[in-house]
Amino acid sequence: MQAEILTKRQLKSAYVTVQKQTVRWKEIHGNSEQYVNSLCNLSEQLDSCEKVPDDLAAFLKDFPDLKIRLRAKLLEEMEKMVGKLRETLCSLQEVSNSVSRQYAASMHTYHTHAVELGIPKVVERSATEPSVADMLEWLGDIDRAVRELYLQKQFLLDTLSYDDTRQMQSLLKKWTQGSDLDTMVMGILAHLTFFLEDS
Amino acid sequence: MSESSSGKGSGKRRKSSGTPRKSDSSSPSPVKSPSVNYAKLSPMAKKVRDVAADWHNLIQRWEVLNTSGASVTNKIVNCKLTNIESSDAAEMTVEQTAAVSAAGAGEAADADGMSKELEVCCNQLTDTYKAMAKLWEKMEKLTSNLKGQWELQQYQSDKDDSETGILFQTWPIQHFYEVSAELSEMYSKELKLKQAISENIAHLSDRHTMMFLASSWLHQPYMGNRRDILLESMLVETGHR
Repeated sequence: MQAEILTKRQLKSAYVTVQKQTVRWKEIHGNSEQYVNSLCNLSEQLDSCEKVPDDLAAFLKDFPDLKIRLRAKLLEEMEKMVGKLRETLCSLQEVSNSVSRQYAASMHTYHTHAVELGIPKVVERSATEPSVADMLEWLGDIDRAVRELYLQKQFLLDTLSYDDTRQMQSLLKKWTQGSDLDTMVMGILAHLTFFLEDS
Repeated sequence: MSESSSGKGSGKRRKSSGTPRKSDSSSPSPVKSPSVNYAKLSPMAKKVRDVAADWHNLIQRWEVLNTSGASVTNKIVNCKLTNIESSDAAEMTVEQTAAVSAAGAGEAADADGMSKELEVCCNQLTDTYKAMAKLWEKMEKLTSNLKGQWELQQYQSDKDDSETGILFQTWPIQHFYEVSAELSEMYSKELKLKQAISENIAHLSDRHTMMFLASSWLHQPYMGNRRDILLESMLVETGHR
């Protein structure tokens, strides 16, 4: 009996954390979009800067170094934006780590009490409460999804090249991809409404 | 910080009351010995302090103008681009169909509205440029002010060379002049660029060149990080920061 209570208590606290962290993820991610937008915009400007004919218009002949200087400025701005995105990434990593910790803790609690609980208890479910096995599995799913999204974004930033306009233009689409994390978590939490409310 | 810098932030701080006194060694010294007592500055130092504050204000106002100018250049570019695209489309239709008159009339009306909008934007940009030019004139005045002070000090120190010439903590007046001159130089170059942009941006047809000009306006390529360093160090030196 004790084992069941302990396991469920751990699961409950894990899901409460997941709930909070998903909100946080959404918030951080939403804020990061403006940086990606700026980055795309800057990359477009950089592209134009590169494509300007070398024999600049006559009225610009007094500014022979304009192109180089502008390029430097644009790259500097882009560096700043990527810096902001790296900060975002750090925050997302915190979220991911926190979810992972909860999953690990839940699994640990379950393994400790697995024998005592027994299989029938683990798979037992009711109208208001999913089984322990289901909840553990969903927690694992969420953990994996969050980790994967985080890694995807890290990969995007690591492989970013300032000169590659096409890649930059597709960045926004790729960055916002997989924001259905929210839907997934909400779907799972919907099953747990009574379980989480019940104290 | 000393008591005189309580009204910190923007704005000039010309003290109307109280005659400037030379620091009096017999009076009990304030608590912080290493920092400069800004209440008891020499008249020249007070002037230089005002100049530094003015520099800060002018640069702030310049930045505001730059931002508004950048949004106007963007509008102009967008205007031009839609213009070009629509005229391209018009040519296509003319080639494909023989119905010229109706489409042509519609286009003409469209282009007319567009050119009016363009004109408004261009006027705005010219106004912005003029306002910036005025700011630059003020900057030049600040520099010549400092130059005058420097020359005055040289003249005075010719007569008696006991003065060390350091106004606040480390900078002599000459250094203030040099910094101010360098800042003025940057802004003068930038202003010339703005002039070129404001006069020509509406007469272009190449997309990339237009974008290039618009982003040149926004990012101010002749203004390096050095500007911030110069300004900040001047403010720190005069005790505004």
